[in-house]
Amino acid sequence: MIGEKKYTEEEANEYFKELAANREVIRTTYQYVTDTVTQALRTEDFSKLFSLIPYIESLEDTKAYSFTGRSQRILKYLHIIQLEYNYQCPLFCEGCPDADAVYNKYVSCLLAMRRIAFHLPPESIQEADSFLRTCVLSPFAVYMITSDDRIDATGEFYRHMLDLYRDLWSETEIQMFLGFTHLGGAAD
Amino acid sequence: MNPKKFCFILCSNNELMLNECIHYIRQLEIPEGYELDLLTVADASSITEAYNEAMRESDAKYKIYLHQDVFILNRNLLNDLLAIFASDSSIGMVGMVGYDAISPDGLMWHEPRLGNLWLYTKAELYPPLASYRFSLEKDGIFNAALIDGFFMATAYDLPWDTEDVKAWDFYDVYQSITFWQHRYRVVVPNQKYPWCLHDDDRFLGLTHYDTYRQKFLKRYRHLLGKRYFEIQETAPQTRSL
Repeated sequence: MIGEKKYTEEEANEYFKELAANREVIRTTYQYVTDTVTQALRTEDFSKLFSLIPYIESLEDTKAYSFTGRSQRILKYLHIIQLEYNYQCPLFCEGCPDADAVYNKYVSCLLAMRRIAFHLPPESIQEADSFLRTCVLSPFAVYMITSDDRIDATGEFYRHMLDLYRDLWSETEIQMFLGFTHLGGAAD
Repeated sequence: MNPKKFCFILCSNNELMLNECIHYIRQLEIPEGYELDLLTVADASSITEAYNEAMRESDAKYKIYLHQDVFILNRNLLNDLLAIFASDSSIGMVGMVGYDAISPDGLMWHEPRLGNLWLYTKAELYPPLASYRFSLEKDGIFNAALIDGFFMATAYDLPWDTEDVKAWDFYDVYQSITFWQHRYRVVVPNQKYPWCLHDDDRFLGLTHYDTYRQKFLKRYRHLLGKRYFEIQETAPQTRSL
């Protein structure tokens, strides 16, 4: 077809040769990130934790980043924690002893919010709501976890989340959330 | 074989994802008079061996081989699968995403994609999920040379290749070809709303992929670049099981 690229076996062979050559770099890069998260959590060294943000972002054009999909979610939760730290909110990583725990918390929250976004039956959503209430997510966490992560985060969804956390968030947090989500005058 | 039974077959190594996947399965409408079963295989070393074992263990006519990180959004999926299989007894397997031809380099995603998968960037183009209903007559199905292994629903049991496929790659490619060569159609429904969301973490685990790609290229070189009907032309005239 006109304009349609046809891939050759030689191109694929090159791609996998490059992947094999970078395999160890990818592994050690990922290991460095997770080890640093764990160390930083254990020592409450937030400078160390946040130093990973420019580090991971500097990898964006490299194979190490593109081949390690988890890095995108790790970067997101680092941004969440940094915003919470700067705004003196309870931190997303609170109670998480290591990198795996933070990652699992991230995924658990995403899965719970997906049940709401995809209109699962009331009992499912009730379960999700209970879980999310125990997590007490910040507006940063709600907004960023649901941005571009395979979830249908509409105005209806954000209103549900606002109702869920209205009594737990401060007025400032509510206004921030309204701003991120363009819910406008939905504070009442 | 129980013609009124579905069985979901899943391999798993992540309890969090598996439990959520099963949660979505439990929300499915079960067609009247039908049963739904579930078999999970934990920490399997080879997906084809696990699938063969589960296939032998289940008496369900309709088996759905599903990845643990797939969430079924279409709650009418089982009825829709029945409608597709009932429309033509030569339809042997249904996928959610497929490809019209076998790519010359063996990488299935290098061919134009058929079917649908939930993508954040296209969410605004989908009809509302609450009112979405698949219609075989209006929406139709596509024949696919290959389907993606995250969802493979079968109406016939054909053994999975354990000789060439010893880990987690290319099992879907080999099985798609096997079905065509047994003169069963492999199809993908035209989904205006994606029936599934696949949360693969955007991570393509390609550690051993090329090993199996090379085996595939060696064995099926004569099929590279071929479309589904050309694969079927290489099948024997009578169906053998």
